[in-house]
Amino acid sequence: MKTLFLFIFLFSLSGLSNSKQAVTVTDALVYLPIKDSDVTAGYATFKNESPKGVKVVFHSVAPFTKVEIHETVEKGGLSTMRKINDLLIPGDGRVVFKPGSFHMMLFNPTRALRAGEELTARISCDGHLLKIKFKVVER
Amino acid sequence: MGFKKPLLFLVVTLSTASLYFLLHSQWKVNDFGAASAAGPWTFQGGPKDLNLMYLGYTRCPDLCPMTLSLVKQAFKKLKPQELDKIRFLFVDLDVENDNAQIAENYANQFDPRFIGLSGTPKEINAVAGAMGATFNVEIDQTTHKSYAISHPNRIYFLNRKGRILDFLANPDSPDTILKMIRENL
Repeated sequence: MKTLFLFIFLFSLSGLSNSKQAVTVTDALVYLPIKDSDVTAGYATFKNESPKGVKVVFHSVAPFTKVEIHETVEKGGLSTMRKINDLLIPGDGRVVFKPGSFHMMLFNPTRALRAGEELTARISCDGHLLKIKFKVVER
Repeated sequence: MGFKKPLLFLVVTLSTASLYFLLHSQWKVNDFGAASAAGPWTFQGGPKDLNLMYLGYTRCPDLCPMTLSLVKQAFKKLKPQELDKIRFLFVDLDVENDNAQIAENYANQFDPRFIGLSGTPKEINAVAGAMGATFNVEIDQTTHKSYAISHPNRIYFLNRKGRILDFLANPDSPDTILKMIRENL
C-alpha cells in the first residue's frame, strides 16, 4: 500500500514537472504605463515543447489589479480587440504575444512602476501554476 | 446652323465645369476643428508642409502607444530642418472619457512636439470623415474596462491644405515611417 502511495506521489510530481517544463516563456516584457493611463500591455513568447496542446490561464500580475488576454484583430479596416478566455498553445508550437496580435492587458496598477523592475505573473498551464518574470521597459 | 449654336454652348459649359471641378479638387483646402489643451484648434491654424495624423485613444494598450512610440523614434532620426516642416497630430477618439488636456498629456509623453487633440463627437466625427475613416465604441461587459474603440491603425500624411497625400497602414518600424515622411516632405 505504501509503495502504491509512493508511486502515485512520484507520478504526480513527474506530471507536474513535465507540465512546468513543457511551456517555456521568453522575451517577457511589460511596457511602463503611460502617465495618467490605467492600462498597459505585456508581451512574451510562449513555447510548448510537448506534443499535446496546453491551456494557459493568466491569474495575476502584481501590482496590477486585473490581467486579461486580448487579441487585436483587423476587421474591415478597423483594428479592434477581443478578449481571449482560453489560450491554447498547440503541441510543439508557440504563441507569440506582440503588438497588433495577442497581448496581456493589465489594468489599474496599485503603485507606480519603474523601468527595469521585474513583475511576477502567475499563470497556470493545464492547471499547474507557473511564475513568470516580466521586465518593465519604457516605450 | 441652328443646331451648331446649342452644341457649342454645351461644349463650352461642360469644359468650364470640368475645369472648375479639376481646379477645385486640386486647390480645395480641407479644414477641420477640434479642441487642444490651449483651446479651440483648427488644422489651418498652423499647418506644416507635412502633417502626420493618427486616430486613436489613450486607454488603448496595444496599437496606439506602439504607433506613437514608432513615430517618436522616426522623429529622432529626422534632421532639424526636416522637423521644422512637420508635425504629428494625435486625435483622441474617446470623446466620452477624455478631453483635450488628457489627449495633450498623452501625446506629449511620447514627444513634447506631438499635438494631442480632442473635441465634441461632431468635431471628431468630422476629422475621421475627412480621413475617410470610421471608428466604433465596442461595448464588452466581460472585460475589465467594458469598452474598447475600434479604429484604423493608420498614419495619415496630409499636406498644408489638409489633403491626404498618403497613408501608412499598420506601421511596424520607425524606418518605414521615416521613409514615408521623406517621400512626402
